[in-house]
Amino acid sequence: MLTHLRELYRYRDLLFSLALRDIKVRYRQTFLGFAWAITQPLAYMLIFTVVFANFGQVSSDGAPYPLFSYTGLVPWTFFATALGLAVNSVAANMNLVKKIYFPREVFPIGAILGCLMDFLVASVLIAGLMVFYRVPVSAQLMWLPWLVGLEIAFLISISLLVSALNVFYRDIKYIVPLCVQLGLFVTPVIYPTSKVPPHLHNWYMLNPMAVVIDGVRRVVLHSQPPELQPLLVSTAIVGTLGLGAYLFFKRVEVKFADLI
Amino acid sequence: MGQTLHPIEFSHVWKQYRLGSKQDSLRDAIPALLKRLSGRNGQAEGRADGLFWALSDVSFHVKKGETVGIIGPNGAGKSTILKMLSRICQQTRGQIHVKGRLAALIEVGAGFHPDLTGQENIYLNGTIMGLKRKEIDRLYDSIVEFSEIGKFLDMPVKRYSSGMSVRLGFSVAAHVDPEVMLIDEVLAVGDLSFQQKCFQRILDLKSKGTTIIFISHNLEAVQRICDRVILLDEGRVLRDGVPHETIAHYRQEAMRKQRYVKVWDPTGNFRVEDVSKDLEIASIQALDAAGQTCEEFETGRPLKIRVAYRAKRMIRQPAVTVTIERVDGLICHEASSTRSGRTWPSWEGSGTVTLDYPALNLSPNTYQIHATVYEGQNPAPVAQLGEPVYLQVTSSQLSRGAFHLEHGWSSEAN
Repeated sequence: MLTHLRELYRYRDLLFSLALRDIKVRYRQTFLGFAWAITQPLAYMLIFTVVFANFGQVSSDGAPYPLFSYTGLVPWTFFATALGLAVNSVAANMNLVKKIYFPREVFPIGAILGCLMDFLVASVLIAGLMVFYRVPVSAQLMWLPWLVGLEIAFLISISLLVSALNVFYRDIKYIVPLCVQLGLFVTPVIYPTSKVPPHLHNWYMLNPMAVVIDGVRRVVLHSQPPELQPLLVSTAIVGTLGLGAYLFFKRVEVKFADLI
Repeated sequence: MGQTLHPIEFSHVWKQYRLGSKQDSLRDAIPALLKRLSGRNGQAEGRADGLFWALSDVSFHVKKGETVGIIGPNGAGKSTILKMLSRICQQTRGQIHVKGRLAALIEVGAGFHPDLTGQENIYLNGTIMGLKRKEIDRLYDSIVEFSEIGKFLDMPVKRYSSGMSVRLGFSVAAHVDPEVMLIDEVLAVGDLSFQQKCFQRILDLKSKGTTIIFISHNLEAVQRICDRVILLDEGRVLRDGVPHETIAHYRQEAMRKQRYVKVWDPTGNFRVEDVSKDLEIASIQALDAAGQTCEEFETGRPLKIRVAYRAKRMIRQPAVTVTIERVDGLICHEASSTRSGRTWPSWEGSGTVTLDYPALNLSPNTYQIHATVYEGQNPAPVAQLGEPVYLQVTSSQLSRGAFHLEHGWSSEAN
């Protein structure tokens, strides 16, 4: 395990290059450039606000609904986009996998890092909306690195697993986006966590993305700390999942080149 | 302990591949899994898929600073060895040890992204090859100079000609400075001047003491740079030894196996043709002044080459060509009965033709003698060369070049 990590560290410049490649390529020859990073969550925010807040009277725990949905949509879009790119990242780079050696996990991890930039750009608008709606800022923001770190770790764990499986079974790249779409309904993006029936709350919070989004909303909108117990449980789940996924990935990566 | 001193150790390595379709979708995998769980001859069916051994019990080692060539026909397992050395694939059985930083000198234009500029791709490709960004900063000018496409570096690679992107990819690869370098058929890259540059780069690495594994079908190049050559065929090591012997063995095997003949058409192009069996060359003999068959021969002495044939039908206006080929493939002399103006009306049954060299001034080396028989003006030969004959030429004098020519010196001061 340590040898694997040490080797990955030696190839950190490659990781950086791949992420940079993704970012550059995504917005090259586009007119709006980085502005595209915020269009997706912004468009969803407008639709959700009209459909759910106006027609559906969905509660937002007292926060303005546009800001409420946008704070959920930014981490969720990051999750959905990054996972969608990561799942096929190894299979799509097979010409390289067959020709030259380097730790193969640079592909899924690089894909995630490439999306991190979009996430950060989209997050800037949260600050803008907070100023617009005069939401007070508190020291609770110090929880953000943990929450964002948890999301990235969760993404890496799942990506290692699905990108490796996708080399063996190309069905995975169709299954994953489907699961992500369904996941939207068991994650508090459209509605607040308070709407979940109390007896299901503990089960609901086993989803690390629910913990992340609920945590971000508490910290940003309500100047509250995240719920500590679910946060610790999720961190433990992601830690275990990540370790298992990494060991699995390293075990099967030697077969990649033979399978194409 | 003594064993692990070598930078490359390959011991009893086997590699198995699956032929035919593999399980690529869950639709195939789930029934296969269920079958295996229910114990209904899942095993036997899996094997029926067809497995084959790309390498069978391959062992060799490479000493520090040694340049070892690997030759053999397509599918012999050469690239499989390279892939396992560079850890792209894993062996099925056996042990592989590699010591020191290893890099592969292969064309990795595959790592290029068409939308990025040449400059951006140098960094991307360099990090793929295991370089640090700082190292690339340092090597950047040299990479650009080597590629000779400095003018186009701000252009996206998608607008490059294929030659330009190959040059760029190779230039990056050529700047990795490993202790062990793997080279797979790179001399076919780019135009002639670029190929020579690549060749020079390989020689530089060699003189620096880099351990090199060199795979190529260019036997002349293999002969020139390798200290040792391994001949592979069908996943087995056939021979491992001195370059010219291994190469000669390979040529001989290839000719014997394929029953093809090499033909140089009038424009000087080379092609390979299947040979009809209307006439068989029974033997080729090299005879010395005393009329004795010789395998060793001192340069400058007379030599006769006698070709014995067996015609299976009447051959009208037969013509014979005898070729003396140096072991690295250089044609030193080709004698053609037609060009010499010697003609025969027809051949029937068996007989011999003798070619007479009053003094054969070849430089010391190993030579192969082939013969080809044609009928009339038909450019396709009627006879294959049979077993080629080897001739070892020796000399009491030192000389370089293909021939030993009589010469003298004079000097005058102005």
